[in-house]
Amino acid sequence: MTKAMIKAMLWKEWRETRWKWLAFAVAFHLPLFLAGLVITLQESVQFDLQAMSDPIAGQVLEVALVAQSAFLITAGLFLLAFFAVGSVGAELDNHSMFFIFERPVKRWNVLLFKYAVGAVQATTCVGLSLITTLSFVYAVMVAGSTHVTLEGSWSTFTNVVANGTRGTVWTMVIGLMVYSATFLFSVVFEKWWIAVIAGAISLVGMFYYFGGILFDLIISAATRDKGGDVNLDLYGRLDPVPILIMLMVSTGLYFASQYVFARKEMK
Amino acid sequence: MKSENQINDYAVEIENLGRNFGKFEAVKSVDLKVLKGTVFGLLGVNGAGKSTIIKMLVGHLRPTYGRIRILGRPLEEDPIEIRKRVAYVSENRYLYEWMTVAESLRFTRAFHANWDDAKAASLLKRFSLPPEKKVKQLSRGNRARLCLLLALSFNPELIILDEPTSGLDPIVRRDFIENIVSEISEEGKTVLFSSHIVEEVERVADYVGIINEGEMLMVSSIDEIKGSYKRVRYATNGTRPEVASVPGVLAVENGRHEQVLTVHGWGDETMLALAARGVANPEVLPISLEDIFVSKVRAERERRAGL
Repeated sequence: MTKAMIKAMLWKEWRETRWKWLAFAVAFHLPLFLAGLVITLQESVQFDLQAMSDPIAGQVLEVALVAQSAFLITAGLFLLAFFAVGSVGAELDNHSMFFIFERPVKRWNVLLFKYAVGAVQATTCVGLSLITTLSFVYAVMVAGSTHVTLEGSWSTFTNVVANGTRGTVWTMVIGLMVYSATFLFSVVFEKWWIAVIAGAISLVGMFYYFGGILFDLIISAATRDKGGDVNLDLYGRLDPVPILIMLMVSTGLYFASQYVFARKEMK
Repeated sequence: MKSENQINDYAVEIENLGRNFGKFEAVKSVDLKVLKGTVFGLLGVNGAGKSTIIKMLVGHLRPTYGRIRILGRPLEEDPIEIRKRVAYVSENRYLYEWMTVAESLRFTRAFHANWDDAKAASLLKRFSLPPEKKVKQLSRGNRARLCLLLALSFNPELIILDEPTSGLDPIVRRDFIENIVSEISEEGKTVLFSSHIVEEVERVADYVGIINEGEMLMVSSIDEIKGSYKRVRYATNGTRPEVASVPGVLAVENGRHEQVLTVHGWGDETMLALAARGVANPEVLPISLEDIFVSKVRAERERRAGL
């Protein structure tokens, strides 16, 4: 691969996915945006930030963190799957990928670019949405307050952001795994809509199998402990073993995609 | 040493090539050699197996059996190196619809080390392609021209075109074919193209291969074909002599007062055999490739049907 080829491939991938990426980012923040509008537009739900104690401000942010996490691992993963599934399948379906195959470029290079660009877009979108959510909620709280004082809530905000950062790592790793799985479907099925159905079925299956564990995590995260704080154990630590296992699964799924793609015939 | 030289004389060598789709045999034991610097037309009706052969040549489909050598190299050995020297334009002219003509050029340029900017600019002008127009807004003719431009601008040694004029109106079709011809005559490149239009194969090809139902019925130069095949017409005077069994007779067309034969290897022997069956004063007429193509395909179908 020459530098010119890399540049051209990256340009093509970016041009093809930039609007999808933007739509994806908007979709991830839409629930939050609507909630923000309710707070800012309805006087009855506006609150006096100056009068709020730190724990109350913290709780608002923590609930936002948990709510966004719940959104991510439910609807968010389906959105992610939808994002990933068209990346190869759509190009195979409309045969535009043949244009690249007529060039002197190895197939695995083509797939690597598609996977890499999509993975970066998807995981940053998923991962960063936690941080942007917290910032957005905080900004809405400030905007919606009658007496604005940042001093009182700033330390709470930074504490929750630290939790959000760890949560970002978790969601990015989980997101990468889901993206890799649906990417494989996208390579296997030439009709993108079959890949969407297969991706949805597999995600439903995953929720059926892991659903109990996932929802337990959300419920426990949202349940106050004896001290009156929200339980944020999930965000308080980064366990290397499950993270490494998920990264290995993602790598395995990527290589499986390469294996299938290398043997694919262009009829 | 001699055999090595012979190998290098060919741009394409196909040996016992076959491809099955399930139980369906799309291509059956095809042998074919295309000399460097020539124009080879692969002629066959729709569904004859032309596109399957071409897709195997460019590596889009894997052969079920057989061997392919492109520019002296086995295809499976180094397909990337071969693709640097071979241009392929598919029947459906795949392009990225959202790109403009200029973007398509810039994008394609990145993949070819020997891209010729001057040539691309000159072809862009010659084909009157609007650089700022998106591919999806182009007419069929302009899409075909853009594909040809992209194929020729990196100076390939071999150009493979699958039904290059399919879906084009007669004016664009002729222009397209003439552009290919001028390109060949200028630079001595090899062209392998498939078509179901006999007239365009006859106009530009040096060699022709007739394919039917996956089988190569004939491979020969156009001059040789025209020299060895004849059309023979004679009056029947009420009775129709049984001439189908005469060696060399490929097809018999019955008119109201005459019979017209398509004959391979016309000579004294055939003339005597016809005379023995009551044919008098046969008139030998020039033959077109279309006559030969139709006769060959019809004879093959009759053979298969056991007629």
